[in-house]
Amino acid sequence: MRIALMVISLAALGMLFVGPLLHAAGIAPPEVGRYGILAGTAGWFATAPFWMKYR
Amino acid sequence: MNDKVDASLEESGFAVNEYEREPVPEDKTKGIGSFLGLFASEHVAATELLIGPLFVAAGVSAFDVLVGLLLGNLLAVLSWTLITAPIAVKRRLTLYYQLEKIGGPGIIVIYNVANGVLWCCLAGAFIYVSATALFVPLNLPVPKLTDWAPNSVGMVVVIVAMGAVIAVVAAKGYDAVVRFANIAAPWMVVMFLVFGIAALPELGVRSPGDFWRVANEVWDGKAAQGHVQFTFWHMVCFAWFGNMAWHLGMGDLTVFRYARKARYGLASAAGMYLGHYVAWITAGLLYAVQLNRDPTDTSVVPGPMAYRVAGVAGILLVLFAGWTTANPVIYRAGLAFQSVRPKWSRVRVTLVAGAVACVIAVFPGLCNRFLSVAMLYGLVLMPMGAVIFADHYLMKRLGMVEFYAARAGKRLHWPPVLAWILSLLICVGLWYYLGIQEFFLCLPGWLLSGVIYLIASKLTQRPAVLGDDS
Repeated sequence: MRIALMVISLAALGMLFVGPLLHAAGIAPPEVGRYGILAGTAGWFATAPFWMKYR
Repeated sequence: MNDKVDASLEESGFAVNEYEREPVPEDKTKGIGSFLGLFASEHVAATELLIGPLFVAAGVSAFDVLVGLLLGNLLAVLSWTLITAPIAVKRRLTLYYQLEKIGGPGIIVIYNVANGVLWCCLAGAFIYVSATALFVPLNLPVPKLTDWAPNSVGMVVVIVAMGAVIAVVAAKGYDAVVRFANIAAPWMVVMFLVFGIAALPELGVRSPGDFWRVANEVWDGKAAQGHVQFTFWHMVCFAWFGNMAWHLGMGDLTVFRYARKARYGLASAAGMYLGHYVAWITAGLLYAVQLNRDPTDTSVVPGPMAYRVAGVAGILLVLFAGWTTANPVIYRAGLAFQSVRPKWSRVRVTLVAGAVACVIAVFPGLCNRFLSVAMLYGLVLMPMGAVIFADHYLMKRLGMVEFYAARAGKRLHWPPVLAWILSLLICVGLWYYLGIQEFFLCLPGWLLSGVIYLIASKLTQRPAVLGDDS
């Protein structure tokens, strides 16, 4: 479970790049970039607290 | 900027409150991975959102930014690796304990008061950055680049409210924020990269070949009105000495005493090149997008800048970056003041530090001149780093005694105090009478402080009366 959440978190960080890269490539408008960043942010904060360790 | 705090270090496995008065045992030392993570997260902070735009306002050229920062950060990494980390690994003691052994407990009181005041100034900048996130949803007018005073009642109310929340949390619910900061740190680092990617198409970069042309438009070499014209050497010195309090000032002895090897100082490159290279450059790009849309809007206000490029997530980054860095700094300022009078309540003294930071935050002039404020922070604290360096490497070679105050049983040993005061006075004199800018005073000040300490020690040490303390 922990590893699955970790994978989702890392995918969310990757998601942060997708929208801006699509916009930079001229494939998508700027709004797609912003929504992509928001979706990645939501994904990170929804999953990271459940697997990140506190030492 | 570097915003370390005891509890956040402890969350990262660097227990500040352990081994306060004894060397860290070998079996408690850590590998280089711990240092890479710590530096990468600690040096991507709210103030990067001020510094990057202020470089643009200071009229640097694209070459100055891209190459000057590369060189300056390299010098900072070498300072950590060749000067701070070797002393930390050899002695494995905190900055505070080494200073106490050199100058007596009295010097710790002076150091804490100076540090506490400077932390309040830094916390003010963080509160301001965080509050600017609310300028967008509340549609508040932004202060101009030349403004010193707040420009609306709404701005004052938002900043004071933000500062009050941060101060109360710092005093009462500190651990929760430290945990949240740890969770947010990787996201923040990635977000700065995303800012750059999102800003480039807005500036007209459609292929890698466009970058250099656009970079020369962004960093066009023309300073804004009232700002010092920056050159290549300003960039080198700013990148090198922006964190001087931590490397040549020896603040990071506390961290590197846990390093297995001195070469782990190279881990500082993670913080320098992510935070003080990528983040400064991408923050500058955010500002360029703003200028591109409205060339008359020269205000440096992170909230609206981040919103233009990254939408709501940009606002969240500004809010979290400011909040998670202001919180520990206020907490630390409170602890510094409390060390002067241990009977003072920690909660009350933290709230007082927060109130002082709030008052500072209300004035945007501090953040509009943040490049100078950052230099001042390093300048005020660096003389004690030079004293520790001289005590470690030169005292025995010059026939004198290391850790003199501890061995002589003195509460306050004057040579380090004299080195501190005289080197700062000479720096002020160079600035006032010769017009040497603060960016170029750090290194001469550091060298002067070491020399003054050695001369004063030669004149005052009485080795015959010493006991044995090691």
